[in-house]
Amino acid sequence: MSLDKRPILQDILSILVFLLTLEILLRLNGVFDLSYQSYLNHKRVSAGHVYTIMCIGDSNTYLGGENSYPSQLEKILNERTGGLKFKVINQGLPAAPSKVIMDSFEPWLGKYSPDMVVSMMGANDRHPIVLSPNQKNFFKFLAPLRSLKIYKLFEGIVIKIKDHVRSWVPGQPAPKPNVPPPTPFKVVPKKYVQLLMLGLDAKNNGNCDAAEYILTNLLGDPDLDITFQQRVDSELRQCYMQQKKYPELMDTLRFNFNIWDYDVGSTDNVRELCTTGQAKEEVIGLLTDLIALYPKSVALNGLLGACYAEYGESALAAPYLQKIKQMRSLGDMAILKQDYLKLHRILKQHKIKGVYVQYPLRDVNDLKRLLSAEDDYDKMIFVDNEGPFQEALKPDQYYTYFTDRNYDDMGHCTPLGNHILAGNIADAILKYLRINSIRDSSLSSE
Amino acid sequence: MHFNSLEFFLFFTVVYITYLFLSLRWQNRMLIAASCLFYAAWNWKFLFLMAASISTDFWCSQQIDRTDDPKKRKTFLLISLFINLGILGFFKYYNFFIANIQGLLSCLHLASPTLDLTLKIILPLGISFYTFEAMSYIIDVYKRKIRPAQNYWDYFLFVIYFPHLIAGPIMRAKDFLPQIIAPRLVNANKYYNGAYLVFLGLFQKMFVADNMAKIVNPIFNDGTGHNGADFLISMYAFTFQIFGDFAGYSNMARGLGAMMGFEITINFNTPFFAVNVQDFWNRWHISLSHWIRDYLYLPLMGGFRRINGNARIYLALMVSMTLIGLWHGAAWNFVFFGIYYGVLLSFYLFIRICWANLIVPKSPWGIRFWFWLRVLFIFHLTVFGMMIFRCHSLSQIGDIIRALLKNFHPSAMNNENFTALIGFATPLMLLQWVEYRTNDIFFILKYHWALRSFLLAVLTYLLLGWGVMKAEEFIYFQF
Repeated sequence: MSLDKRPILQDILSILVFLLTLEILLRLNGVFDLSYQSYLNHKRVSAGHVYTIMCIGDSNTYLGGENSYPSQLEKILNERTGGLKFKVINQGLPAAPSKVIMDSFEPWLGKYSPDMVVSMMGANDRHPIVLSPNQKNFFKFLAPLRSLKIYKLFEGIVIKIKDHVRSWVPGQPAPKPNVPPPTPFKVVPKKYVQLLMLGLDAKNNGNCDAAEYILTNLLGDPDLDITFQQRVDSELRQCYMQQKKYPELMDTLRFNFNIWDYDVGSTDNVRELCTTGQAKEEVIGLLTDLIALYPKSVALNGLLGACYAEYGESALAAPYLQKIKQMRSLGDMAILKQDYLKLHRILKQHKIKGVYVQYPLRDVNDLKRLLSAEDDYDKMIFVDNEGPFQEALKPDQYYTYFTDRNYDDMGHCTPLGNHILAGNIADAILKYLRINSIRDSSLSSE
Repeated sequence: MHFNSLEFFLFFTVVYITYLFLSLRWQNRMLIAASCLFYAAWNWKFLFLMAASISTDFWCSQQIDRTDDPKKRKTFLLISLFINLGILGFFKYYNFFIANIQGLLSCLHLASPTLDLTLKIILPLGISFYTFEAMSYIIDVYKRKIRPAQNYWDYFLFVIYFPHLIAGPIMRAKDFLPQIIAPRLVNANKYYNGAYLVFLGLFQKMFVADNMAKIVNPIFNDGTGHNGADFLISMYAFTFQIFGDFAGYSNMARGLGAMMGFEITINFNTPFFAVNVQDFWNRWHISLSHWIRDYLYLPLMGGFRRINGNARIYLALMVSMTLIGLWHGAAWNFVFFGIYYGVLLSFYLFIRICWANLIVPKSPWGIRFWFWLRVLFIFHLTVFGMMIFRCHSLSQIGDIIRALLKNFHPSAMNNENFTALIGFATPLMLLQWVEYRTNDIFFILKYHWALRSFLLAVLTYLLLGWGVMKAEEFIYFQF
């Protein structure tokens, strides 16, 4: 067998046959998987079973009542399938990071015994998934190939390789300038707690001056534990906000941002100021100062961008929002990864299908990367909300789809935003369930 | 750095491209550097141990070759063997023997049971393999079967060449040294054959072995409490796992060598189609079984000259096989693994001598039936032997046998495991069957181009779609 004499045509044909066979096999595999699933679904439906979908997540899932995405999802699914009955359970926990969600996950499973779990979580984590980079796909010209199974297969491999290569880099420089060292848990002396309670009482009774007096005195104590100090600070700031004492407010904000640029309470305060249009100069001055100190902080840059946008200066907001897009790094999403893996394994163990949803305007590949090391990665369902939202956003105003800017260039959804979200998820679910055949069977059985 | 890891892929790509542009002398130098790097990626300290052992052997071989004085020659041989076996014995067997002797002494009330003389020893990777290579070299030089290496670095490369460094095949100097000294031919054909072997090895490792491990580990690791049916399935699974794992590694080693123009000895030759135990050991871990045959069994046969009759064969077999068992590791289950095969081989030789040609079918169907009966019988003996190999204690062997005999409920069988066993073993066995019939591992490459592409696509689909995409450790790295 001499390779040198072999015509090139034959080599090309060999490669074509190879790729074609691989594509056919992967498709057959998919058809087999789907038929198996549809067989299971048939069994369930014919037994008069209501297909239960449980949506887990944070405020983005929870908020909206009838207009929340789970409620809209239920409507869409039942409308589109006619005879079939879907029940969607909203298990959103507002403000919950992924860990909190996963801690209470198994009891929910027992309670509702769902057939499918839709998850959209990670926005409240220490390194939130919503802060992930909004990378543009460099290989966009390959888009027409995306429907090919071999493309998906090799895409999965590439993601795995990238993930692996990332693990070689020891401790990526995460954009956090000033994380406090983990303070050992200290028992706060009783007198401090009593003082704090006193201050809270005063504040709740509307006597902010007294509260301010007590709390400032309490803060003067040099022995105060730093976490306790932050707690007192956050109460104090509410007083300042009520009384519009901006200079003092800025001082405590500065102090807290200096400890930790992700400080949740302080960020919320600043957001509140921005959205209500208060203290424009002070806020922008504070954030500009802080950014001069910590130019690499994604949180601060994003906050300033969001604030400019809220104050109506979109021209000034753009460079900051652009900057964080470049700066945002996946950072250390280890905890979120753990939680997603845990979720996936529990679901696998209970033979429940999982649907993993990425937040609007965020790259679905970041989510995929969390689960890419799993064996059945290529059979998972991911829902991309980046493209559809981008398309929708172009002609309309931001606030048509989002109620706030909690995640800088993205926020909680309006009913219309939730509708887009629910529509995307419904598409993915119906595609997976191969709903036509189920509908036929359920209609004939009725 | 495992062969099935991304790191190794990058490492080999760099090494290979560099290799193609170098002259022979620089090729060898580069391979030595690359091999040292390969080993140092695991633990650079043991590189010095290996270098010390290599230097002693080289020096001793030179001394043996230089003189005709039998006494001197023997002294240098013994120095070398003593050092090699000393290192191996210390790192691999010291704790085992100390623990057992201590146990014995404390049983006899001669030592305090609390006294602990065992040490925390890390087993240097590949020590069993390179020690055996060095010993075969020095013995061959002593017997004047080969001339010693003239250049220290040639011998260095013979031992440290990275494809066979960590888990064999155990090379002989007679085969490998000439390939180091003379220029090696690299052509497209060798490259494709080598690449196919690597691919096949990856398939055996990642599709077969790592998937079988998922059946085996949960059941064997927690020991008792399983149904006999579960144990039976995982015993079969382990047999395929260890074959896929080790044959996969050997194929990858051979493939990597072939891509560079080296020819590395074959280590597995369709062992599941062996028709008797002797045949099995001529097909399973060939480089080790032939090493033991040449350097242990045959000398023992000479040594037991005074024993009359067949007893000397049985005795030599028992000693050799027990040592094969012990070679795998310092644990009683390996000793029993060796004894088990020693008994089987002796028994086989016994019936062959006594009842030779008693049952020989004549009709074509009779011949087929007889062949498959024997293959199935030997396969099940292998399954049982591999169970002993896998157990981590003697009591576990007992538990498993008890479960198989007394607690066997096929109805309680784990269907998923059974499906996985059949699903992952069938492609492997089909490949093995055609390889056995054609006696050619490259049979796929010789088909018509369309069929070849089709089959390669099927294998790729199985590997990428169903294989375990993690660099799982090879079983034989621990030996």
